[in-house]
Amino acid sequence: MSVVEVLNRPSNNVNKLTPAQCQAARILLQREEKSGTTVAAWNSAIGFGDGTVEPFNNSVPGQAYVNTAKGAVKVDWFTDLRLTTLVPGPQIPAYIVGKLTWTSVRVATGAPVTNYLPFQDLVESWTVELATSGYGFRSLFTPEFMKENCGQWGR
Amino acid sequence: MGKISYSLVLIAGRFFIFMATVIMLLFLANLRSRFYYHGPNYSSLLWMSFYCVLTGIGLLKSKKWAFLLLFLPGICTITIFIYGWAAGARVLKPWALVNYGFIITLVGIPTFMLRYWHESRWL
Repeated sequence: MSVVEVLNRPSNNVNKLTPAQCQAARILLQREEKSGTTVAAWNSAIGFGDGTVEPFNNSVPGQAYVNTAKGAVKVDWFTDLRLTTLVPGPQIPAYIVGKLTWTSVRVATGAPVTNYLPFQDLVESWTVELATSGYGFRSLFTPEFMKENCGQWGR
Repeated sequence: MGKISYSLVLIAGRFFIFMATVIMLLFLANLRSRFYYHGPNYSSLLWMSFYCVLTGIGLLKSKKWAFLLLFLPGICTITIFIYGWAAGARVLKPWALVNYGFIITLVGIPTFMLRYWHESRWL
């Protein structure tokens, strides 16, 4: 499946934003506007920040993929990869190491694993591509997207 | 040949010390997240940091055991890939090529550095 096909994935495979996700997106945008994408990611990541991104946790059933202005994305992975963007380059090895660690911990603890390998999930690959290309939260949650998908929850 | 290998060993040793610092900072960030925001437990980062610092110091001191420790990430990675493939996981090109490149790097660099094996010592 190509990136174009991922972007055009039928909407029943990608859930619309929930009120909690809209609220989290709004906080991400505010933080990004104030401090930049990398700092916003550090402050918001699950496990490294205050967990603002928790409503986008792809381990929770039903919210593996999230609809954004850039198509289906895993926002929690996007946030984790944007932690490394103080300097360009380390996003891809960081993703591979992170993914392999994640898989080994899940297997060791007996937790369910849906995709074992780096780049196995096309949406995840697309997410890596976006983070590596320097896209920010404002690219995922554009004002038009927020207005359309979050209504009163938008900016 | 020895000089090239030796400089490569020094670079690798310093790189591992650098990575140990980075991973330790990630662990501390996770610790903060766990204490203040009930974040998930990423204590595996601590063990990864210990591994990096041990390997880095070993390389800087030209220890044979450090050269063997260098193969650990490659062995772990290949094990996970075999496990994933056995479970039916498949990765499409061109991303599969990135994965292959990563594995080749993880195995190739330690193999290349074995040229310095005879100039190193166990203790």
